[in-house]
Amino acid sequence: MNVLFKGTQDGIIIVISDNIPFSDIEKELRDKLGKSKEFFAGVNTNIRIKCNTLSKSEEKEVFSIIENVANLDINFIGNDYYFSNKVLTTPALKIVKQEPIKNITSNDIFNTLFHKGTLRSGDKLNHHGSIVVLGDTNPGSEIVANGNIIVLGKLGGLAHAGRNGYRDAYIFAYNLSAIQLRIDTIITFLSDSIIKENKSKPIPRYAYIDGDKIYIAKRK
Amino acid sequence: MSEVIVITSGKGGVGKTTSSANLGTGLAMLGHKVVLIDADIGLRNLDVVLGLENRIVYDIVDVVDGNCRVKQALIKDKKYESLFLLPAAQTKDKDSVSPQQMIDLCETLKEDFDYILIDCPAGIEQGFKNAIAAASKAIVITTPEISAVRDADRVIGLLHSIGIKNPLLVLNRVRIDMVKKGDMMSLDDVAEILAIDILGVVPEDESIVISTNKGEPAVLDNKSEAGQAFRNISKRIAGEKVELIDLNNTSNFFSTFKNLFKN
Amino acid sequence: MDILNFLGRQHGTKDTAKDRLKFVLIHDRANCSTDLLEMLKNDIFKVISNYMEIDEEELDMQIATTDNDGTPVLYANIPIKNIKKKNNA
Repeated sequence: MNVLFKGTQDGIIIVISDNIPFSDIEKELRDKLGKSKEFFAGVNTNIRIKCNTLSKSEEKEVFSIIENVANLDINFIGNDYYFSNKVLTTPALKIVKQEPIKNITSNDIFNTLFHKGTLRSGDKLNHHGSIVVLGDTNPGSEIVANGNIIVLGKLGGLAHAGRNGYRDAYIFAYNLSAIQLRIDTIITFLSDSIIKENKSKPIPRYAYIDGDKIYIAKRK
Repeated sequence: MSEVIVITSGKGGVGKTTSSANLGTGLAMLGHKVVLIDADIGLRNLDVVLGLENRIVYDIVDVVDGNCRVKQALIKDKKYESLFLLPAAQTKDKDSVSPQQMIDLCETLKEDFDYILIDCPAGIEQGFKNAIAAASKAIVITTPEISAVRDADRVIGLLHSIGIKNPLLVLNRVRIDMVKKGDMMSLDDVAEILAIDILGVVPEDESIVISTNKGEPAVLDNKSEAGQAFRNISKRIAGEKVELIDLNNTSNFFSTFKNLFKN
Repeated sequence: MDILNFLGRQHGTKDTAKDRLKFVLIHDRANCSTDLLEMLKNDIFKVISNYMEIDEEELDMQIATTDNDGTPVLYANIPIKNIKKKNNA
C-alpha cells in the first residue's frame, strides 16, 4: 500500500509513500486507477499529490497516468496539500488541454463556488475557480477568485477576479457598487456617475479588461 | 528626528480615529511628512474618515507578512503630498501584527517621515498593546464623561507601565453651554483628575459629522470650530506655542445675563 | 427648577460626576477591591493585636487621596483599648 487515494472536500489527495521505486508507484497507480475507473468517470475535481521524494518529472508522469488511465477531467494539480481553505495553493503544474487559457471552457473557470447569503465587512471568499454570490456583499468584504465573479445582488465590497493571470475574467453584479474592482493585476474604481446611477436605479453591469484597462458595461 | 505618537483612549467612540485623521492632516498642512497607521485591525475606519477607502490594495498585515513592501501599501492623501495612510486589514485578526513587528515597521517608516501617528484600537487588550509598542509619545483622547475619563485614567496607567511617562490629554466633544451650566466637566476638571499635561480641547461640532460624511477631515474646513481646535493641536505637536481656545470667551446674551445675576 | 438653573443658583451635575469619578479612580488606581480591603483589615488587626489590645469594631480603614497631589493613601483609624506588652506577663 504505497499509493493511497483520499477524498476531501477540496478534491482528491494522492498520498504516495516516500522512497519507493517509481516503477512500483506506477504499477500500483495503474492498478488502482484501473479498478476505480468507473468511480471516477466524469468527475471534475482537484487533485494534489503528497509525496516528499517525487521528482518533477516523476510528478508529471503520475499526472499523465491519471489523465490517461482514469480519463479524468483534471482542473488543478499541485504537489502539496494545504489543509486550510484560507490558503490558496498556486498549482505547481497546470495542465491546460491544448486550448489557450483564454478559452472559457477552461475548467479552472468552471469550478465554481456558490455562496448563499450576505458577505459582511471582514468576510472573505477565496476560490481558485469562479465565485457566485447569491446575496449582497457589503463594503469591507473581499471576494478573490482565479476565475469570474458573479454577484446576484449588490456588490459593495472588494472584488478581485482573474487573480492568477486570467485576463478574460469578468465581474458581474445586479448592482455593481464595489469600492474597488480588480481583474488580474489591474485596479479600478467606479466613476461618480455610476455610483450615482446605482443609488437611484441600479442596472446590472459587468467589468472586463480590454488592453490594459478595466471597462464597465451595462448588461446587453 | 521623527516621532512615533500613539493616539489612544481606552473607551471607544470618543474620537480616536477622527482625531488621528485631523491631526495627521493638520501636521501635513504645516509641511511635515506624516504617516498615519491604522492599528485597528479587523475594524478599520481611518481610511473612510480620510476618504481613501477605495485606494487600498495592500494593508499593514500584507506588509508585516512580507506580501508587499511598505511603500506599496502606503496610500497618498488626496490633498497633501506629504501625508500617507497605512491601512489596517479588515479580514484579519487583532493579533496579526505583533508588538515586535510594529516596532520594526515604525523603524522603517522613521527613515521617510517626521511623524508616525498610530490610531489605536479601543480597549486594553492585545490590539492596544501591539499599537502602543512602538510609540515614544502618546496622546490620550477623552470626552468629559465619567466612563471615558475613567478609561483614560486606566490607559494612562498602562502607558506609564511601558515607559511612556508623559502622555498628553486632548479633551474632545466639549459642549460649552453645558460646561457653563455646570452640567459637564471642564478641561480643568478633567486635567485635575487625570493629572497629565493638556494638549488641547475640541468643542462638540456638527461639522465633524459632515466632514466624516464627505471623507475630508474637519481640519481642512476653515469655518469649523473643531477644525480650528485640531489645527491648534497640530501646531502644538509640532512645537509651536498656541494658546488654548478660551471656551468661556464665546459669550452670548444669556451668559451675560446670568453673570449679572451671579455678581 | 429651570428658572433656578437659569439664574445659576443650582449646582450643576458636573460636581456629582467629579466626586463619583474620583471615588472610582481611587479604587481603580489602587487596584483594590472591598474584599482586599477587608483581608488587609483582618491581617493588620492580627498583627497589632500581638502588641496591644485594639477595638475591632471601631477599626476604620479606607483608601483616600492626599489633598495636594491626589496620590492614593491608606487611611486607618485604630482605637487602642489597652496597651499591653505581650510575652511580658
